[in-house]
Amino acid sequence: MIVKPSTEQVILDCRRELLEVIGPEVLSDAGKISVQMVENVLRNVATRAAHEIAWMHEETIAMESFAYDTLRAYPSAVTIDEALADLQAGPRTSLHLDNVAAVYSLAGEAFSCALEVALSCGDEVLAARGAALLGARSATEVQIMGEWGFVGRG
Amino acid sequence: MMHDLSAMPGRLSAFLATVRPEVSASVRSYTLMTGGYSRIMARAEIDWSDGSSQTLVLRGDPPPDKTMLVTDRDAEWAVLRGLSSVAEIPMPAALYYDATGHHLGTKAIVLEFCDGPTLQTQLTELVGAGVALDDPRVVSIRNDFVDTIARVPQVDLTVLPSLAQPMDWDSYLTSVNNAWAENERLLSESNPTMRYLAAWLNAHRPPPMPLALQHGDLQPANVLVDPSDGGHRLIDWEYAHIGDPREDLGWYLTYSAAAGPGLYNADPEAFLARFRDRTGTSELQVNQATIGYFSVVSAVKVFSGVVHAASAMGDGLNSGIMTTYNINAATVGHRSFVGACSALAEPIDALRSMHQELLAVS
Repeated sequence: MIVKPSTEQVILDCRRELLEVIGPEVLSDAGKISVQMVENVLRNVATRAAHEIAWMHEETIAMESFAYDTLRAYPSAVTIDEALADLQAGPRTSLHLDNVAAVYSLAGEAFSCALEVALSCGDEVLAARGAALLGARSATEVQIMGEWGFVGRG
Repeated sequence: MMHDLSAMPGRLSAFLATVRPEVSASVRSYTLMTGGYSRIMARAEIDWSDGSSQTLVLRGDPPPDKTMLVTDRDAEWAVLRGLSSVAEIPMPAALYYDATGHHLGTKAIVLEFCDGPTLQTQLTELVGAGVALDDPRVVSIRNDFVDTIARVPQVDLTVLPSLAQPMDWDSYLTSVNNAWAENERLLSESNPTMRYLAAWLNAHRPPPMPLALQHGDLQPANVLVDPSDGGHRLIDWEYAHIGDPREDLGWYLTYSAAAGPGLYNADPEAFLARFRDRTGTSELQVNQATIGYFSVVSAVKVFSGVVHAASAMGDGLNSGIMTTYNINAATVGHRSFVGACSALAEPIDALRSMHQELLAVS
């Protein structure tokens, strides 16, 4: 298969075509707003295409580690235990995007259960570590988002 | 159906004949309106057989597979009818309702058209022209906006019997906080931020307040400015509910972080002092920390709508650029809400302690 240009480059080239060729031909207000939105989405998915498997994999490791540490601190937390069992049963060896996303979601569930236990137990150390992981997750999302603002609102 | 520019004039004319049988209506023009993110909006010029003319606005639901935010037109219509008798809440007259969608192709509310810009347009133009946020013209706009926000929680709730009346503040807050986790469990993928927010909000509660009417989406794009006197008319009541009176302030804080210029952040103390003055509330109740808290609480409905739409697309049940484009709104929300929780834990807990000490003394 041909992988150069990369998926990211192909998408960004489609975006250029949209802005330079198609956009100027669009005359209606609704059409212009759609073009602005599509342009933004193309930038988003270009970034995702380049990095999302690596980002999900890295975050999965961090979330799973947090869930195991929380379970060690609160061994009777059944929700964490069950969520981690589901994660172990997930398609962990596959690099196909759907499977990586499925494992990422299962790790997110285990992480969510651990966050709930940490907060309900008033465990400030674990809660702070969990919040830091959410902050890192948010930072990744912001990289995908890039420049963004509501278009067409007025 | 409301997108069908060729069929809609005839359908609208037939509908108007059912609600005003004494005259016939000729639809001179029918055009779609931009600016709204949730509903389909259209504008129609009507010539009535009695010689009068009228401009109407139609507000209907998009097709189910193109819907980003799901809300109830029956509930919105009931709120609009209830508020039509409240002089303190000026808004475009709610005229007619196709409650079944039989005539207009979707459940649709027909409103009086109000000429004039939105407050968002007015602000964007002013600040875009280089006017500073502390300029007296912007300060005047801010004060008028605060006054408009402050009028909503003072509405007598007996005019709105259709709205659910929560049992008390504590149970209301628990239910709305838990909605973050309940909505997350309906998604096709996990969202740890939503689960964290539910747990965090329940663990850090501010001092309570009496429940009151809240608009639910109070932002400058939902305020029409009357060009004759500068008066405000509030539109888009689809999220109206009885809740904590700090929710509308909090929602504006969230909204303006994504769509400035932000009138609150320019001078939070002035913004809140005016609100307290207009509503008779205390600084223990209405302050930067509690508004920060309710910036998270109030976002659950709109935020959940955005991520549910994305989830439905993932399941092959939804489509549309509005859905994919607004995934970025969820990103803005995640960043704002987690940041707010980190910053608010200590001040919120301190306020709660002060409140409990006051209760003990009294």
